[in-house]
Amino acid sequence: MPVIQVENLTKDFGHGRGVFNVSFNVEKGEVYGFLGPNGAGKTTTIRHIMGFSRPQTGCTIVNGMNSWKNYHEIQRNLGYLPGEIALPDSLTGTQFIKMMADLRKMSDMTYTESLIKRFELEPSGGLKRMSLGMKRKLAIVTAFMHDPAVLVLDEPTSGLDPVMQDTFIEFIRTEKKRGKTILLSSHIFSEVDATCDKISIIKDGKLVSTFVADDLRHSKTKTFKIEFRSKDEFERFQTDHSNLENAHIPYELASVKEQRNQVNIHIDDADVNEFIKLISGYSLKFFSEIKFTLEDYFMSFYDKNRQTNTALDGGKIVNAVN
Amino acid sequence: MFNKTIFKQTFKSNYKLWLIFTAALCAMSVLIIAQFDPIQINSMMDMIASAFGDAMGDVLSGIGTITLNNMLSGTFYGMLAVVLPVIFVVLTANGLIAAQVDKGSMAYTLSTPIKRRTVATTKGIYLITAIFMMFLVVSLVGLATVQVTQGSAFGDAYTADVKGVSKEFGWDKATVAGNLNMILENPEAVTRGAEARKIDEDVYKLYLQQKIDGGTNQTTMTPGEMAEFQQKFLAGITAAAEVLDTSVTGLTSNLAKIKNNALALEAAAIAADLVPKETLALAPNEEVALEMQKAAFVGVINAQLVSKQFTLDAGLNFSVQEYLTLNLGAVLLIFATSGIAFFCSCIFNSANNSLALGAGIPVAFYLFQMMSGFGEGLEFLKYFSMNTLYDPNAIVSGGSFWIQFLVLALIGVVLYVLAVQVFKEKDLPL
Repeated sequence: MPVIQVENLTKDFGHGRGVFNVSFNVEKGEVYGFLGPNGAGKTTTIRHIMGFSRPQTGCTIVNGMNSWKNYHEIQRNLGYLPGEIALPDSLTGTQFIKMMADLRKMSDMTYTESLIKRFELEPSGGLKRMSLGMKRKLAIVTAFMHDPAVLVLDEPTSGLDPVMQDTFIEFIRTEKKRGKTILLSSHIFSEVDATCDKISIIKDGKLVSTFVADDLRHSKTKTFKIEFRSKDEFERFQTDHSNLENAHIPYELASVKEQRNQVNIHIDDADVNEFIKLISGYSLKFFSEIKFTLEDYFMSFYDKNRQTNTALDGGKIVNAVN
Repeated sequence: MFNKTIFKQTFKSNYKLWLIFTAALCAMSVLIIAQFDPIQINSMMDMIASAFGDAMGDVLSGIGTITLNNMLSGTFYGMLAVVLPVIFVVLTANGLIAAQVDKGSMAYTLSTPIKRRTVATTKGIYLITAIFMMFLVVSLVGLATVQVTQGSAFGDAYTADVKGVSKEFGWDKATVAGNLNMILENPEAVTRGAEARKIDEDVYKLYLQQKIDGGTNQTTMTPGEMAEFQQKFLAGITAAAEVLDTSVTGLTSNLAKIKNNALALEAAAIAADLVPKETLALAPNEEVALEMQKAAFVGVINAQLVSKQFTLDAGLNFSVQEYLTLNLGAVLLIFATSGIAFFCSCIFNSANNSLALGAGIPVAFYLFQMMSGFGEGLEFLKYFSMNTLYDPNAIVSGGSFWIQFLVLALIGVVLYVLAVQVFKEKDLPL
């Protein structure tokens, strides 16, 4: 049974805002990336998972319990890191940690202490005067302090310095090894790329893509950029390409840059030898692979002016010439 | 339903505001009670009465003697004890729920296995406790101040002359009050006592004698005779007023003025014609007859002045029960008002909206209550204000108020219950 289930969740705030018919499951031990720009509906979905909002239709289920009806029960084994860090001003960090421990009826603080050490947190000062990074670290510690099996993290690394971001990503990996189930919402590709097994992309309140991260990383189709040594060579390639039109072509032409004598092409791994034979007949300036990243994939949903349109086909990535 | 950790944290972040408002309220209460001087305030009332002429004089004399309870009901409990705590309640209620939801810090509390009902109830309990503690402290400080400055909260209050004389001669106040002959038999003490009371020595002696004898002389006149007597006395005063070129009302509140002006006294004595004809007939000549008339008129004036002194002594009276009832009523009004503010805090996710309505409604109530007193045309406004359910004047003047108290308590309870219910069921933007 999935640890976190989001089933046909709809919450319409009007004016096209909200989430619409969102469904996904996070299995036990999985790190699930929830990717989308600001205002796409990530936080709204998370509010429902936490039991802060009542769904209009559909439901969210954590550990088999309905989030809205059993919101206080699911918190026993759930850690939450809010996207916006708003801590009560009147307390010091130490008092805040103590308060959270009291609210959770925790008595053993050794794990909390180890987290404080790991994230180099200095909790003694007042929360009002703490830097954003320090507040973020404090929020991370309070989300993990009761060592919950399920974690919901809303943009966890924003406000952390690069070193601390790496520490956090490393921490997520070890937690994953310990069997934790993690839902990580973000618009930072590197942290999603580095940690997540599965990724869903949300746009305007609707899930537009759900895929296994490894499929993206190990796509069988690769993109190369080729620049010809001269205009003549470039034109010869294009003429040959037109002549080959009806025969078997071991590549797909993605884009052409006339001024620089460049072409971008997609090659299937199976055709790579045939392609090298073909391209060795031309005089080239360089030949390089364009790494296809999560960012490219993500942007393809948002940037309509881009040449490449990427569509999802049976969980695998297929790039098609537009 | 109740969580100790949340209560502790709520207390920590809110006690400063409570301290500030409680201290301010106590300070005001102490100042108002300490500066209360029944002689001064009652003579001031007389002055106002004379300054505004007969119409106002009638209104003011209808109020009667101003006691400390009267004064407090009009000033402190009529305004300060309502306005200040309302500000406190509105600010605190907003901070308890709405501000935390708006800011987002409520997310941490709710990401623990604690029910929303418990969170809201605990915070509500804090607010209610804060209000009751505030008025408990104010009541105790008030009672202590009454005891220290007026000496009349518990046990007997001492009049100005007893205090003054005791101080001058190093006597014990209780002993002097128990045996006023000590003053009466000592001319120096009489001078000092009369000074303290701001009256003539002869009037003071008369007052002391009457007090020793046990209260004012009972009149033996029939109502008819009384009316005739009053008419005569008024004619005397009118004549004196003409001589002194002043108003009748002004002179009525300052009768000593007639005594000190020979011409005025003569005119008054003749006009009043108080001495019975048979008695006058015994006078050997006109001059003696006039002296008799004068003496009679002075006698009446003195009697009036003495009876005024007794009235002033009554102003020292302080009823602890009335005082506590004033406080109880104020607590209930503030409790009901806090219900509105807390309800708004629970409904709105934006602190601004919560504050706008949570403060707006109580302010509107206060204004409606004020305006309803401006004239008959606006009187209907009192039905649109919860504040009219707390009527301090009714408490000190024997009006009915218990049903209103009950209604206030009910309003408060219902609003708090609803507030918790709303908070339990609503969407939180955390």
